[in-house]
Amino acid sequence: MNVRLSILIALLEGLSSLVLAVTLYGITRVEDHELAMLGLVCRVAEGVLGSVNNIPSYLGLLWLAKAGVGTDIPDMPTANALQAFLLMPGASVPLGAFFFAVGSLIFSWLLLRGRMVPVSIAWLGVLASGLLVVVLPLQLAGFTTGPLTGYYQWLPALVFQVVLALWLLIKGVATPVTHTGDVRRSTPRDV
Amino acid sequence: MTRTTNARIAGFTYLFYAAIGMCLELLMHQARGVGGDAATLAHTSVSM
Repeated sequence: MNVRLSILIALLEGLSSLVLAVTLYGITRVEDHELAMLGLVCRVAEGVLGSVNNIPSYLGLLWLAKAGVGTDIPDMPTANALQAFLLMPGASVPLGAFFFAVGSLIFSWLLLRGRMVPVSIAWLGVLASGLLVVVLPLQLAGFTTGPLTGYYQWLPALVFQVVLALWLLIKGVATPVTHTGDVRRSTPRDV
Repeated sequence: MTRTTNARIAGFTYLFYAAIGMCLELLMHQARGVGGDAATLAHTSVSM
């Protein structure tokens, strides 16, 4: 039952990544279209590599749960070995996490540059994401990152996400300002 | 969609994403038979 639930949740998680990619692109493209597009691509890569990519392993576990039943199912020792393989912890850093960090950094930077959310929230996003962009590749390659080794590096990003989410739900986003401080005029594409 | 609509959807999805990330991590830890901590849950809720 847990594996079946995991499959459904992984699908929802991948879909959420895509929704975030498109909506954040829609919000920030006014500030810099190319950067916003790069952020969108990174968040899509995160959804595909980080969530949907795990589903074949879950399906393999479901198949193994039927071990010993039917004709095309492995015997118990083989099933146990395959199950251990499927549940083996993967890389120290999930591949999709790096793309999440880059996408989050880009969108945070665009939110900051356009002053679309309070500067403090946007800076928190830039710093939390920037930290991950630096640290995750090092960890993936096997370097030690001192006190940042482990999962505590993710806490600032979690705080940023929750604060930004509440702000977007309650206050929405401000119209981007130009670099001279003027409010940018809306174009037909903005609405 | 308007920017306001985009913002509302993004805000909801951020929270939903964090919640289901934690649920998925809990389920996988049960499957692997190992414990988790708050930092692990934070990691998976923002990136998995």
